[in-house]
Amino acid sequence: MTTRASLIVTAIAVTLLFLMGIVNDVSARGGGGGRGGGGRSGGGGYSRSGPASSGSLSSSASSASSQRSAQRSQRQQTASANQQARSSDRQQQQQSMQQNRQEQQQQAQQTRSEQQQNRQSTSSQNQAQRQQYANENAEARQQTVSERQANRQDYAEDHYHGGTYYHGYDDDWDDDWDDGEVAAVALGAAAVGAVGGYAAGQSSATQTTTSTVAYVQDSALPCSNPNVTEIQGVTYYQCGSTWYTQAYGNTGVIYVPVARPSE
Amino acid sequence: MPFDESSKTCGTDLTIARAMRTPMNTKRHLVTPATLCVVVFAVTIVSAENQAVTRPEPAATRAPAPQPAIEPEARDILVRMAEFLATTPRFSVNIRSNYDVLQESGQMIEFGETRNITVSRPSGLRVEVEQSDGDKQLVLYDGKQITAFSSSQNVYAQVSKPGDIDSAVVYFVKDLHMRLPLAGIVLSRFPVEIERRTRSLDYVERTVMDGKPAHHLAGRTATVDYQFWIAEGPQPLLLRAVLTYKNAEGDPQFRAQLSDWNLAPEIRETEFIFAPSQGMRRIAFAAQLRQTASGKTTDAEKTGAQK
Repeated sequence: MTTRASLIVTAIAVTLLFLMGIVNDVSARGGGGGRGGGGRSGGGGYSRSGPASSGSLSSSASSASSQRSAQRSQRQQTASANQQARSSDRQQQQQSMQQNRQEQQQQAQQTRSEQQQNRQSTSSQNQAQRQQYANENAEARQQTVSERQANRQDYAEDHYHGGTYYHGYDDDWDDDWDDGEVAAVALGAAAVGAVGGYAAGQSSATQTTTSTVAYVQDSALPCSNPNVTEIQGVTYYQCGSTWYTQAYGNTGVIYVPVARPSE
Repeated sequence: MPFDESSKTCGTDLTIARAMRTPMNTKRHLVTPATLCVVVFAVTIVSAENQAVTRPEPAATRAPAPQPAIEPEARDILVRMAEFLATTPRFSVNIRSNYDVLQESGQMIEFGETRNITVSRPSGLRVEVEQSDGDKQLVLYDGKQITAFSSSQNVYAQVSKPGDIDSAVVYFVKDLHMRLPLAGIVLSRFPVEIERRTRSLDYVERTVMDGKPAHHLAGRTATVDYQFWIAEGPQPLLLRAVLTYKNAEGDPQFRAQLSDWNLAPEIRETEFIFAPSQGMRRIAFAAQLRQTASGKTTDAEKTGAQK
């Protein structure tokens, strides 16, 4: 009987320790709630594309939530500032009336003493100014020489690294060439057009008329049995009244809606 | 003793305590309930402390991080790494990476991929990609043409781009809107790129990465915070990179582990040339379709950052 009780107590202790460990682990991960793994692919339409998928050192992504938060904060600050301003206006009006009276008295007295001081200091100021001009000229000359030296050094540093000149690339390169968000967003503006010529290996573009349709791109067609047609070496897929063709996008091969191909 | 009685908490009225009054076992069992209470109490406290440590602070109460300037020692290490890679004539490396994508539902999802990169300056580039969903892709540049090939779908897209790796990579990423994570490490102008973008840089600590001593640096560009782990010694190779997209919602990250660096790989000349086999279909780059539709030319020589 007692042995059994002892075992139960030990089991409870171990179980508690185990459970607490799990709870801590979950909270360290930022909370549970995720679905379990299992090796199956989701197929739930999860997007693989986002600012971080670019793996680049620049991004034009802006946080909508940050903007909203900033706007909220700004509105609150403005309201608070307005209230404070109204309150302080009233106080200032009272204070200023008092101050005006005091200042008028002080000003009259100050004016008298300043006139006296001015007369005394004019002669010594003239002398000091002459000395200062001479010093400033000397400093300016010295600074110009230093700046020229620094400019030359900056240019050398900018254009010479480890024994290799970079041929002034900096002026010509776009700072945001690897902007990942551009890659993710730019295709959103893609329009419908003919694609003849690519299959034949031509690099020149076919001029087409753009028609406005809801833009859809995906790694799979929206229908399971599309009408497949090959025209001028390009394969087209028809789902309902919409035509698609395959293209290489930043997430791999995708289906892009195109205009109805003409034979 | 029924089981439900034994399952009560460590209160004073436990049946367990009564059972333990048996003289023979008194000493041993007096310790057990006390131990249980102590254990439960200690675990609760530890748990509470851990939760306090691991629970993130609300964003509103976070103090703004100090903005360190560019630390000379860190800059030297960074530039030395970048120059070392930029001036290495040929190399190969394996990059195992994962990245966060915030879904419309608000849930952050992590995806992964491996990339085997082979560089032969000035104009040979080969990138073998395997995504976490099993999709395999290949990107090739031979000094004349850029090719993206999907072995899963047996299709490829190709565009003419005579020049060197630098111009091809910029065209591939900027004009064709294709992904090439950590593209900077294959560029001969990597030192300029990384220095120009870095607004602040700090030396975090000396650490060990994959059993090798390494420098841990933390830098900030205007839009991305980055952490690099760079090997100590005569070969300052990049071992790990973590990029945080601080202006994007949810602060998603890109994390990459770089391994199997080979600075003298055996390279066949044909390794960079794409030879389509029978049955492969050629398709357009999606960006080309966009350009076509909007009436722009897709002539490679007339677009992108050309020299």
